[in-house]
Amino acid sequence: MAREAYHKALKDVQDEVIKMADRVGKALKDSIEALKQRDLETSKRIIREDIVINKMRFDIEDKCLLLIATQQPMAVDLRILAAVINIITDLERIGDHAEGIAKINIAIGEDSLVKPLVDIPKMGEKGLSMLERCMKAFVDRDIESARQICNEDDEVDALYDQIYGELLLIMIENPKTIQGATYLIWTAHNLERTADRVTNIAERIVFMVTGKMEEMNVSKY
Amino acid sequence: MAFKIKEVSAFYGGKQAVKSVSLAIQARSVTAIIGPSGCGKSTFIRCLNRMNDLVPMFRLEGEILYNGTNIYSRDLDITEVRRRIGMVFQKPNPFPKSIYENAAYGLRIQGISKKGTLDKVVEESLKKAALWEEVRDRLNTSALALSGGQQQRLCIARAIATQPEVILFDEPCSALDPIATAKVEDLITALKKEYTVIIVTHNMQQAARVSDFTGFFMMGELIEFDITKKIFTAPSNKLTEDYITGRFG
Repeated sequence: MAREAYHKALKDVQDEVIKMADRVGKALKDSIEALKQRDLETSKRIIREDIVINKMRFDIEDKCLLLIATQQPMAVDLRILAAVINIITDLERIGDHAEGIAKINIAIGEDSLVKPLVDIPKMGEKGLSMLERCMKAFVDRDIESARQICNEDDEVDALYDQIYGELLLIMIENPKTIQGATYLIWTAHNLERTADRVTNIAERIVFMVTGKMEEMNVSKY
Repeated sequence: MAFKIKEVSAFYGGKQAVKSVSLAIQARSVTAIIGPSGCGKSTFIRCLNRMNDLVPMFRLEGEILYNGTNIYSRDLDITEVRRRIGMVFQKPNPFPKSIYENAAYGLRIQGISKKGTLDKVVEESLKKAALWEEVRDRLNTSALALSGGQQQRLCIARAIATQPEVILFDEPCSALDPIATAKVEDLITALKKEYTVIIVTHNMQQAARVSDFTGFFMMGELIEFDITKKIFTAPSNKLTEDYITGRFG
């Protein structure tokens, strides 16, 4: 009763999740780089291409539903599919956060930034590193690494607090910066939410391996 | 607990079919036994009402306590054991008699012949087996004229008529179409309010749908026994997981 076609389809679904995560990671990286470089063309491309990420999500979801309907997956297979359906939702939302940053860049347009970007790229790098390691943990079924990633969410939250505080001071000192500073707060907020989404993915990986849902790091935001 | 099974081993001559199985079966629940062909699941369930006694060279070690009494003790009436612990088989096997006589058969061999009593039990049993509405106006026609699914429900009615406490099902749906299967599954779910049900099935979805507890057998051993939800979502044993996800079998 070895079910080769079924297990190949199950593996294909997981490979597609990795491809989707790669694409989402690239959108995130490019969105911050474009903001830093004031590169509006790249931001426009990110917005245009978000539809590809959304389509990948629906394609993977379709495949999961088809496998559930036709193959009656059980035990770890069922948990993989349940986890995948949740993971792709979070990946798609991270894609939206990248798109959000691209839109902010376009809204800032030709204006200069109210402060040099230091901590925002740091937040981005941290979030991206969490995402990449999370997807590695997904492939390796590495629950220790998944738990560790959840703990790192606090570092991103701390960076957000710091950025928020700095930008608030800038606005108090010079009300003309309110619009520009608000844009940067929104950017930081998108990155803070990105790290939360990665935490969700890590929780699903733990569920996939152990069968237990654990709330691993409750964000204060 | 309805059954307490302690280190039961079953042998056909020199061949050991069940290896030191211990488990407890809860009353008024459905317990499913799953496992690959030849794993000893049918032999095991047949030990529970001494059906294997009919097999030459059969031998059993260990203890099977039903409500605290060892069903293999010598002073026990084997017919009474089988009355209390009824069985429904893989292939519907109605007798070549009328629907009424099939349902009344168990009572007749107990010497009950009063028409009023028989009528009442036949109707009640057919109702419990969810067959009454389909056959009430043709009780005297041959049971063999019924469809396979109806025949199987008639066999369930026949088993219920003697007022058993436990019903053992050995692959009850393997010869039935999906609609008849769904009816028998609904019936099993309804029966557990009054009876202890133990079902051997090849169909893992069926085990997942109808049972409260599931035991996984392999090569005569009970590999894992747990609540059904746990077995089918997060089994503890790798062998169970590999079997139910189709990685071997």
